[in-house]
Amino acid sequence: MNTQYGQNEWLSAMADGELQGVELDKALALCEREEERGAWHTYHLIGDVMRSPELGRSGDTSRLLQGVRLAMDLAAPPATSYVLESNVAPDAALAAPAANDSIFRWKMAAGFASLAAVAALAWGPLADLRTGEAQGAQLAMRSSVPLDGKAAGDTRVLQASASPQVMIRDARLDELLAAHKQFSGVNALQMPAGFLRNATFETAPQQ
Amino acid sequence: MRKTFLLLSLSLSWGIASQSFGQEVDRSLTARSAVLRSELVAEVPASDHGELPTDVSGWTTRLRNAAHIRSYVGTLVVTTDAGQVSGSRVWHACRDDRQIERVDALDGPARTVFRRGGDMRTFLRASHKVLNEPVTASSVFPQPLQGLPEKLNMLYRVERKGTERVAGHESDVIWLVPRDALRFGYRVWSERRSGLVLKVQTVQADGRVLEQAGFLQLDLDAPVSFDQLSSAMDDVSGYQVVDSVGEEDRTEQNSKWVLRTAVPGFRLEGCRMAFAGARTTQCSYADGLTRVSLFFEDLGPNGPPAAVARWSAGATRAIARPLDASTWLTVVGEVPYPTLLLFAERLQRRSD
Repeated sequence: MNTQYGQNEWLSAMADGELQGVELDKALALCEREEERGAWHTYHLIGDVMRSPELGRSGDTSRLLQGVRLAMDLAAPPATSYVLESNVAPDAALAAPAANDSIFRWKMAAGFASLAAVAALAWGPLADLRTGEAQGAQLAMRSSVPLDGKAAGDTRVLQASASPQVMIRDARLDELLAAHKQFSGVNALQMPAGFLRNATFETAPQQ
Repeated sequence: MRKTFLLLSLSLSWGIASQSFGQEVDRSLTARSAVLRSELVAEVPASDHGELPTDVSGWTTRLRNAAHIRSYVGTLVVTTDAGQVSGSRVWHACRDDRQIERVDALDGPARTVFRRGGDMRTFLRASHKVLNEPVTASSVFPQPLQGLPEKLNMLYRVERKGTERVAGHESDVIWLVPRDALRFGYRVWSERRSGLVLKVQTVQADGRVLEQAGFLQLDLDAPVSFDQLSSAMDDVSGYQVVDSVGEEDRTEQNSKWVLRTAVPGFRLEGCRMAFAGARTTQCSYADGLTRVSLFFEDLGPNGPPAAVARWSAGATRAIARPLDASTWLTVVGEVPYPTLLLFAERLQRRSD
């Protein structure tokens, strides 16, 4: 047990649970030294990899990612009864990290609004709905990624995010939004924004 | 006593006007409007006296009343969380108890919307059409947001968030926080002296902004002429007038569908035919700050339009689903999806 090779052998044996009694005590005493602790970690890693090969595949990054995915799966709130039509839980999970982004985006948007470039982002009546749908669909897709294949028992949520959102006819939706617009919440606070915003949804009157 | 009060307010208003805005203001106009304003000011809760409201209903009254007494011109920008931006130029004039507003869209198709009393008129420049719509059709829809003050305070609470300068004016920032998860919250920037809303954000429970409407720039107490706006609104030469819904169609309707259990906080305001010629009934539910519209469509021989669907832009959400073999339901509102779903799931046929 005097050579380095011998000491490492002891540690390896201890890692495999083969030591007992006096031998175990001696091996434990070894671990109090720095270099031996490094060997100890290595032996454990080797043991892990031997027992589950996928863990050792591409190094720390993939293990970290897997760990994150696992943690997210475990943290995902259970599906509600509304799950067929709404991804409320995944949206909320996404919303929290994005809070700062939104505020920053607001400031950016407000700044751009004063530039001519805003014309490129202008709301056209029908273009809105398609953009809105695309954004909504993107959100749904993004939220489904972490749960992909890993969710335990949340199969209904998977279906909801995977199924395409069938839109009702745009012209019809325009009419309904127009009818709803007069009473939108922001009107309560005396901003013209309420009826104005919905006014941008309006197409020309139906022929 | 009254004369002294009027004189005092007159000089006060003059002082404020010339000091704060440092521009040439039409003195006679200011004097006339100041006299009127001073009488109304007395009714506005804690307007120029340094005390601000402490509850939600007090604040909404202050915010609402400010637009009744202040004229302004400004540039309004509406943005959604998806990055859609829309700009407008707004003129707002008051006279006595009446208001008139003109909104010119700066983005998208050129159109101008006028709002005066119970009328709304939209000029579509490209197609030379004018759309006439009464905003409050009949007694079925009472004055918007006639919630009982106590009810509003039960549904929302208010948090003061300090002060901030917006669109060139100092403003109080308040957050109207919903007490449950069935509605959105609102962050409001309210001009310090008048209470006028300068900016509003519709926010989710976690504070994430869904939609924002705010003035980039605002000339408060600008000399906007009520008469000029009014005559511009009435000048339809060169335009084809389209009445969107005939008066005779906006009759009070008893919806065939009722809620088995009420959705907390929302009260039925009334039902009406939604469009001329269409077999759609619209029922409106309100909680004092926001509304949800339910549209019931009788499915004709063409069959159901589409499968279950949902849609959203900014704070507005909509879901659509069949109610039964012959009725298609669409629920629209500036509320979270679970609230729309609650409405949809609690509907049942009225048993007469």
